[in-house]
Amino acid sequence: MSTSALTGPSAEVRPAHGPGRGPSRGTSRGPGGVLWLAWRQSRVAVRTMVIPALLAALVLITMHVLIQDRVETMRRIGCLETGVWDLTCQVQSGRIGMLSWMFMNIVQPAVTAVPVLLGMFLGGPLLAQEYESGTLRVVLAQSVAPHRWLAARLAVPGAVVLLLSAVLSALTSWVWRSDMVRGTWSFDPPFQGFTYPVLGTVPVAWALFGTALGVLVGQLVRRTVIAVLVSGAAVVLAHAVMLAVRPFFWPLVEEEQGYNNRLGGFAQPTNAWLVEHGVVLADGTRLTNAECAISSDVCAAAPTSWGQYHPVSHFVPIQLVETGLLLVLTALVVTTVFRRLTRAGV
Amino acid sequence: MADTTSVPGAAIPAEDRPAVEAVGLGKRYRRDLWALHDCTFTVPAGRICGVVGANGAGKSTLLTLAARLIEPTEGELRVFGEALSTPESRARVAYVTQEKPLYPSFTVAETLRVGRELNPGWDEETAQRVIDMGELPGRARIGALSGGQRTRVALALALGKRAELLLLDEPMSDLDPLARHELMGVLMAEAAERGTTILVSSHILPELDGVIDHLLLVQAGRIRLAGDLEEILDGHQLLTGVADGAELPAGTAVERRVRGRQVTALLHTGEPVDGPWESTRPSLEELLLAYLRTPLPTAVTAPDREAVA
Amino acid sequence: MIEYRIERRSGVSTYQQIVQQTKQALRLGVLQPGDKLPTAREVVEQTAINPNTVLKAYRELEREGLVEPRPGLGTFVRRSLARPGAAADGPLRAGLVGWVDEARAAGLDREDIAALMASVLEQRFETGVPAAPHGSTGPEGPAATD
Repeated sequence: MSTSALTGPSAEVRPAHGPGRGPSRGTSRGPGGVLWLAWRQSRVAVRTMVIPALLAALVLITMHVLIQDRVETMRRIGCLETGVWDLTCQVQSGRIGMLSWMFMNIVQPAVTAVPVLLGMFLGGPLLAQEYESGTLRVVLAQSVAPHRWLAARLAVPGAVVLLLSAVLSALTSWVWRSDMVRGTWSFDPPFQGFTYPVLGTVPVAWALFGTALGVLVGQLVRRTVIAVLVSGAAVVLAHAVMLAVRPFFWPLVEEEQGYNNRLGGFAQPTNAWLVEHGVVLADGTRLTNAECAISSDVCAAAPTSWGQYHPVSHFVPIQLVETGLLLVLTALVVTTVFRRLTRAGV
Repeated sequence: MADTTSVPGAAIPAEDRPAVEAVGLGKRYRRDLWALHDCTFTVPAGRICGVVGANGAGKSTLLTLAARLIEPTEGELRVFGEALSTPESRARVAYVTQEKPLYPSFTVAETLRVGRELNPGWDEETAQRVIDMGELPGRARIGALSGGQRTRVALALALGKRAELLLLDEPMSDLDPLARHELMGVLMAEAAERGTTILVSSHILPELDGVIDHLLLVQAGRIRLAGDLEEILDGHQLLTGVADGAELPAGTAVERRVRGRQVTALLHTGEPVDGPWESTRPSLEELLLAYLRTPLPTAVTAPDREAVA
Repeated sequence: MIEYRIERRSGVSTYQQIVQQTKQALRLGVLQPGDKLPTAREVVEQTAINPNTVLKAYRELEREGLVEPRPGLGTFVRRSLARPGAAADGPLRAGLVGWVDEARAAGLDREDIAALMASVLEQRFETGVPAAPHGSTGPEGPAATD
């Protein structure tokens, strides 16, 4: 072996190196370092989320106060008792109607869309940009373990998403309940398509899941623009799948009723979610409503109708099941992201 | 040559462990595309090793493997005797890739802060000195800097880490001659002070002259030359003579060129050759150019392959 | 203090250049016994060459007894190669300057003068004409160099 040993009597010795050389090589630095970097990297994204969230909060609080005020006015006047309905009642009711229209047609769809937007614009680019521009190599070239960096990098925006979505969800639920408690004519029932996703814990779980899914897509695709598009599609697809399986999160209630031709169909309790209904023929066969549409005369002669539904009391359990499921999926997605970071290389 | 590759890393005292040791190293990206194949070499600690080859020869892959950013498909790679990457070993290696990636929205000061926050052994003074030499303001955004300025920041980031092994992939390509000289001086000063091992890939051959003392020549994914530079140069000779003169010894000619009546040949042997030849020791550039001009022979048998040190 | 000028493409290895330039400085009296040679770091920061070559050169000079390392302090010049007559302000140099002026006046250009000098040097040193006894410095001559 060619002598590379450079030691000798000369004072100008190139220092021999070994593991202990140089300043302390302890690698257990506190979390401060990666947290600073994670914050600095998420700064723009966080600011972009906070400002609309503050505006939305302001709008929701204002809506609640206004609705509350009008309902109180109506109660004082006596509109809420049956038989007392004059012009003032009409005016107040109309004002509430305007606010509820805003809630149903603007606020609800917007809040439902939040997880999709988070997946597209927060989650998708998060890792995709790092891979595409090569900056991931900057981080991996430092002494910190890749997992620690990734944990901080996900935790900082994740915590902000959790906080903001929790606040938003609390406010939407609050606004929605302001009318539900006192009157039932302005807002949609809880199981309704755009109402369900904005109440309770479900928006928070969806926000976290949508973001995580976007991060995974970004890591797989490694191109920012494609990641944005695919993430959006993925979250929407997840929504569709969840919609299809949601009825089975809690045991359905089945009932049969006498079929009244004039009323038509099955009459579920107030605010219940009718999942499936149809008629029962004289010989006991059950036909769904869809099948009835084909052979309507057969259904018209049926003596009984049946229905499967979730009453209002199932709302909270179903929400909790969905929340739990989404959190488990989020954990799986995040674990996959961590595993892929070291395995697939750069 | 001591067969260090068969001895477990722990048996060799720390100071003598080679910086990089590879046996049969290979990396495949697609089914039939081997970026590197069957590479065996050793880079002793404290050396400045040039990784030379044409574009696409596999230089970047070699450095990326040494940096442990990717896993080898075959073979074994040890860095300072360690076969796996641990948190301690991450701190000992610094890598500046060819694209010199940096966060475009960060300022220069923030980029240095990344190094400071993520590396326990951070040397702020050295890093800042490199920045100051280029008169870069701390508040300048990376995205607004020129290629040469970004290279300077990337090098500052690598030098501040105080690594024992520096992997540099074409570090000087963006720099003007003055900056090149300055930064090479800084790198050499680092090496002088701390015995840093440096693997630098370049295809600007004149720059390596006087700088490297160890050589890795990569051609078509294989190692064609590996070893101490002086020994390699001693083991070659440049012959010039008349075209119809004596025959060259078989199997030793790397390159043979005829122009008019003059024949010039680079031989892979240090033994004197009989005949009317004038023999000189090749310069680094002459050696490398001759090899780069000749494609790798399809059957690379053991005598053809130089594996010194 | 000496500043090294490295010519990369001169065909002379960098380590040889350092050895030669150091000896030249010693001959001319630019470096005197007790002077400190620049550290390897200082040299390479300036010239951007491999530090191992600087150390190799210093070891060579040490082997020839011209410099000595003092641990922790650096490398110091041990003895001079300067001959009294070869000093930058000595009479030998003045005489040479005069001769060169004469040669130029006689119509010789630079290459002619250099060729003439080389030829004379070769003749006088090759043919074994014994050197005149000289002064304090140790054995130094073509035979003693590596």
